[in-house]
Amino acid sequence: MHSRSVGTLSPLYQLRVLVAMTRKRLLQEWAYKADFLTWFVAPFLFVLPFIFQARFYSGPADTGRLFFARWAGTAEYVGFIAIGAAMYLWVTNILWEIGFSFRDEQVEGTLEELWLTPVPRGLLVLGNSIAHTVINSVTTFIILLLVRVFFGVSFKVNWTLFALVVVLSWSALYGLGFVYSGLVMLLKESQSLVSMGNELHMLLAGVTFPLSVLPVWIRGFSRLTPLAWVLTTLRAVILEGASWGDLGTEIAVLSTMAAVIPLVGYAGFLVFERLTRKRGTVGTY
Amino acid sequence: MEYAITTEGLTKVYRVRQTTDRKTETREIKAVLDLNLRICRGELFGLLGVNGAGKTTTIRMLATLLEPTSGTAVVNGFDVLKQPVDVRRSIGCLLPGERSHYWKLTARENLRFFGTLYGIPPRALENRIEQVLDIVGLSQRADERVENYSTGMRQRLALARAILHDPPVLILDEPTAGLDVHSARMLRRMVQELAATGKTVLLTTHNLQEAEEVCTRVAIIHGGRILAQDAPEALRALSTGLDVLEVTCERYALAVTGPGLKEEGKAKEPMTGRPAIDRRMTENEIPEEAAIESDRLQIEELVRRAVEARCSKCSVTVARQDDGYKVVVKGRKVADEFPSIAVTLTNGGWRVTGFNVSRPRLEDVFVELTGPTSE
Ligand SMILES: Nc1ncnc2c1ncn2[C@@H]1O[C@H](COP(=O)(O)OP(=O)(O)O)[C@@H](O)[C@H]1O
Ligand SMILES: [Mg+2]
Repeated sequence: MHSRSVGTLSPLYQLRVLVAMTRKRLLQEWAYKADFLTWFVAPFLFVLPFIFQARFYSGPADTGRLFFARWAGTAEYVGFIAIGAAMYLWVTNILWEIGFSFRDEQVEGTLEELWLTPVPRGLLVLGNSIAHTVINSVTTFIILLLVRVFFGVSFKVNWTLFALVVVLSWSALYGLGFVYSGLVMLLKESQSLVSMGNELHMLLAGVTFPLSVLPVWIRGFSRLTPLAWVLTTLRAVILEGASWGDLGTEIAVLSTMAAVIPLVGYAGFLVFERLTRKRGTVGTY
Repeated sequence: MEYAITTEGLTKVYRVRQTTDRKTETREIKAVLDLNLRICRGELFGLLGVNGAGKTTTIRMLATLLEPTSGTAVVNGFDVLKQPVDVRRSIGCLLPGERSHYWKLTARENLRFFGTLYGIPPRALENRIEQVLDIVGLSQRADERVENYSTGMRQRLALARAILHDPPVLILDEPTAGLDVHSARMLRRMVQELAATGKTVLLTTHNLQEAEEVCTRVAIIHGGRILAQDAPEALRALSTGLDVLEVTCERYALAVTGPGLKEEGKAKEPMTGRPAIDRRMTENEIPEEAAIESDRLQIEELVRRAVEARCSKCSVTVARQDDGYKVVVKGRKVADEFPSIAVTLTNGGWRVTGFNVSRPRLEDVFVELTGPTSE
């Protein structure tokens, strides 16, 4: 049996592990059918209030549009808000799903069993979050389409640029997710960490408003937040049809984040993981 | 590489923060202290101890789930700190608690998932799953969700997962805890069968009977230290406790009653010179006190003569029982003297009608070593 086993570093083995973990997650998700439905309906419900609120603020006969355009650089306020809210969901879900998935395993009692396997720890983190990342990305995309259909927002997207921005964003977000999952494993608590993180993002990333309305010192922090960069860039790509040339700085910053954050994040994860093993609390909740 | 598991000064000290009266202080819990284990290949080794003795802590360190404070451990030739991945591949673990499966998945899906993570190629995996399901007797229910399983079935599934990748070493933490008698016996038998196929098994238990019955060698752990380790029989011999040997006997003459056998009694006249009581005269009445006393003295002397060579300090009491006598001999290892007692009594004209031996149990040794529970 041993001679037939595949080495833990062979790409084929790693691929099989990722597929198995994704499959397991989907089977679990499917078992709780209500949850499954939630995944597809809730996001749209989340976005709608923001859109109607924006309509209300837009003043009589849409006069607010002009003022909005002065701040945001685009008069397309429905699209602006919808993209913000959808992307906010996308980002926070990816981010917290990684941490949450280990929390689930911890509470269920299966985390130690995972930890007993020879799978590299980073692959376990990745594998446990792929299913949700995919579901989440699909629903986000659907929301954008629905917004386009129901609110007549026109998209002028450069798809290659769009794909690049999405991939860079993923990479940066997974980096943050790694730290978060390590932290949750150590501290056995995620709810307050989640709320804290969400509120901060809501503010710093300018989910429902352009960053230009923020006081200058807060805007400084925004520049350090990956989500803020992700949002500005995606808005520019989707709403304004921005081209490669327009987004030189943004792409450079996102690329740097996409390269650095995963490394730092993984290192952080390993530190927390080791601390957890020292305390002997991998399986406790 | 003759050892499957060795530990050298393995120690775990937990640091827990305690808040008392607005003061937060760090308390140290010495869970495992300077543990030196040598477990040979193919052994079924038991780690026996009460709750809190340090069994799970030891298991977790060997399974790479817990980092030792100091010391080293080598499993299947791999260092738990330096080669954790090789260790993980070498061991199959059964950890306590029945929540270690995905309850919304079937047994087969659970096994398929873990099998893939252990690197078993897909085709080999399906065959192997059938095999292990068969070994633990779950083939019929393999496609049911684990949430419908009984505790015993979940434990068997856990065992199936532990052996799935065919590891040479099995580490089982209290595998039968919480199981009913039948499930526990079934699991014990499976573990013994696995050991018989050449696997090394390390199991922990607080059940003395289990340790005695199943294990080829047992280490008694208490307060994080090993107090003794040896084969169960050898451990029993450590006891300062005494054997108790009970022998019942009666006079040969009494075995057959009725007229025409008058000569029988005479022929078996004892060699001690003390005249026997004439039963024919006392058949329907209570024998005289004096006669009984004389019999008792005679039997006691015979027994003492039989054991004096090796057990000078044993106690012998003889009491009247039914139509004969009951002898109780207490002393260290006196149980071994039964044959010589039987011969001496027979030669002395006493027919041995029954006997009973009780030796100190592992429990007695355990209590002697660990003392009264200190909690
Ligand atoms: N993660 C932990 N943190 C702090 N103390 C622990 C931890 N795990 C176990 N202990 C303590 O260590 C001692 C040994 O526990 P354990 O190894 O679980 O014993 P056993 O398995 O023999 O019942 C106990 O006093 C227990 O309270
Ligand atoms: Mg225990």
